[in-house]
Amino acid sequence: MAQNQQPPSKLNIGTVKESVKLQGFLHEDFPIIRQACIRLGICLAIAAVLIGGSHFFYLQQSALQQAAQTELTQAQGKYTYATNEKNDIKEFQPRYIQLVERGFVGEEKRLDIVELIQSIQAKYRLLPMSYELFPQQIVPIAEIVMEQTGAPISAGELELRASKLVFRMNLLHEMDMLNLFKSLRERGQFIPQACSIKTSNTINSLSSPQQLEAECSLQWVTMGRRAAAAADQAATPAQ
Amino acid sequence: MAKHLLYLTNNQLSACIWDKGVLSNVQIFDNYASGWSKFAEYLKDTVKLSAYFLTDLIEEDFQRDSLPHVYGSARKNLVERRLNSLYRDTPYREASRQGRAKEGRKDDQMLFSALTNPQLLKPWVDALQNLKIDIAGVYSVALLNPYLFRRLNLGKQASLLVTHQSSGLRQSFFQDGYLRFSRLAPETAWSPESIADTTTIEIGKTRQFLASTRQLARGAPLEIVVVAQNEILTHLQSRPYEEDGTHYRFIDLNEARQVFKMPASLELTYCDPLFLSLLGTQRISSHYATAEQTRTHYYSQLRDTLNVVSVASVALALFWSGSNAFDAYQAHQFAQQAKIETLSTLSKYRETANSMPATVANPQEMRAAVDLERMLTQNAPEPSAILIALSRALDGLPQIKIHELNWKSSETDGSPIDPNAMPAPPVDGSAPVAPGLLGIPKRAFEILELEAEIIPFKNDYRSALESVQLLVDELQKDTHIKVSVVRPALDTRPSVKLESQIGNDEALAKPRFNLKIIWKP
Repeated sequence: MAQNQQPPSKLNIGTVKESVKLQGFLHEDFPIIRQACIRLGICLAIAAVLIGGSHFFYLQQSALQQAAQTELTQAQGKYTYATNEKNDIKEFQPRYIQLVERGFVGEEKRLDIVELIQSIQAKYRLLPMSYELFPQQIVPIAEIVMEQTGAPISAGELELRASKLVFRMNLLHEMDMLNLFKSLRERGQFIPQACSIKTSNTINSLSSPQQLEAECSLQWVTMGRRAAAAADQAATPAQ
Repeated sequence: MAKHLLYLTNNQLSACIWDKGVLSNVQIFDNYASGWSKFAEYLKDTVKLSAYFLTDLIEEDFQRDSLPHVYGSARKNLVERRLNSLYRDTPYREASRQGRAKEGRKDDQMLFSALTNPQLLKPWVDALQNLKIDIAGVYSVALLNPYLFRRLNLGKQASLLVTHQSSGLRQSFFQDGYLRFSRLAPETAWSPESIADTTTIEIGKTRQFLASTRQLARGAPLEIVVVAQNEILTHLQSRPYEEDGTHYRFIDLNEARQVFKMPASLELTYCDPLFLSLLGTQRISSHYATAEQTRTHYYSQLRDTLNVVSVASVALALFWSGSNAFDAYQAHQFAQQAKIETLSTLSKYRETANSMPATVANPQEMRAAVDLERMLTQNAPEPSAILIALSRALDGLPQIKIHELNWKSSETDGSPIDPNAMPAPPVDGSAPVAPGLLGIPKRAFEILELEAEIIPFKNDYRSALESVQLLVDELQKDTHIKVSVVRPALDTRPSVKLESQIGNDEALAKPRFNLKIIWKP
């Protein structure tokens, strides 16, 4: 007759051995190193506190130093800017006022130029001449770098302008043309660009000397405030 | 590092401290109950150093045998089984490998040894364990003999090393550089002469034993090295030795002291201090330590390591935090300095701002206007210079008459430019103004093109060409000027067509030429 046999229960011999080993360690071996372990733990904690605390303190001081350094840099920048500004005013203002008076800075006074040409013709007794003054143009100087400083030209709200002036005239001598240029230069920045002089084909009379025909172009250079800046300045009440 | 050394013989135990090459604080305890209790008292008062237990006992056995050459746990099991069969009753047992057999399976040659009377160690070991003093190792003088053997530079030939110990006369037989066996004859004589007699007798017995056990054939060469006090050696040296193949070498303890670099102040009577110094100076693995002692020693070493790590971690933290504190102090100093400088700079700034003169325009704009005006005045093209140079050149050449002059400023030196690359400028003056032509930022090139004629000509082309060349040479004396002949009076180059008239009216033949004069800044 078949009997239901229960499977033999497992004996946890390995687990018991491990347990005995662990107890042996805890009772016999661990006491040898217990104090050293506690000491190490305390020392590591002290070390962590020391290092962490001192590092935190250092970071605080470092941040304060950076803030102080930034303030100093800003103050130095302001002082340098003010000093430069003061020096610039001392150095450049007298000449700037002269330039304003001379017409280099400011709007073109074309009527003055017409009168000037008339006076030059009368002074040097020049032959009749014709001239054309073209509309004013802006000279792009933003990308120009100064040779001396290597820095780009910074004109602020001012801009450089030029108007082309073309003369057509007869000359008795080429010096007449040079005298005209010289007289113009004395009153403004009139910069010669091109000049064509040839002997005249027409002979007025046998007694008159041979004439020269000349056509010269110059650029009348001035500086003026930009349109937007000028509008702003006009809108702002004077203080 | 200081070591606590214990030297155990059958009669007594000597305890001493080894520190920086010096043996000190030597204490001797009888191997009786009174000695054991005194030893326990001594341990209570001594610094708790790990104990190095050196035994020099008669009850030490040596067995040579071979084992199959295997590795790992198999080898460990084999060795353990053999030690169990040889020395079942003692925990102090050891096996060491001494090379391999030259024939057959080439088995490992092993030397098994054991302290066969563990009861001799028990009271001392118990005293140490009761006070929880770590036993770094249990050593044997016999098994330390190979170290002495090497220190004395003894070769690989069969040798019998005889050392005079406080416990008696120890004889260790070496073959092929390996210890084969060792025996201790207890001390029975006290005067140098009688010790010498005993030594001679004991050496004779050992030789007989070697021959009877067939370890060394009768008459085979054997070097007998005796290490003892000088008085004993003097008596030994005075005796005749007539045995075949035997060579004696006597080493005085003073000579051995020099080999071991021991201090001259230490008076040596026995060889015991030599072995103690070996333990003191070298890290030698324990010979007979039990598993429990080994484990305890491991944890003791771990404890020491943990202590060192603790101290090191605190030291490192102190150093690190010191460094941080120093950096923080420096940062604080810099910050303070910066604050002082900031206040000073702001004060100067206020002074400057208060003393700022009234201005008609922005200083930056004023500066730009003045700079640009100066630049234009300095760099603007001026035709007078090149015209004056031409006029001076023509002063000496009245035969040249100019018909036309074309002057212009240019950003280039007059080199031909691809006409397609540049758009044609409008004629109404609305072309953008190039700052380079005005002299910004540097002075422009000036180009003068002239058309002239030689008068009077008289059909003399040679003179006409010479006149033109003279004009060119005269102009080029100015280093700023470069002249090129665009159209010569007569083009005589072989590569071009030459056209002229002859026999006609002189007025029809006009030797006109064109020059291009470039003025470089």
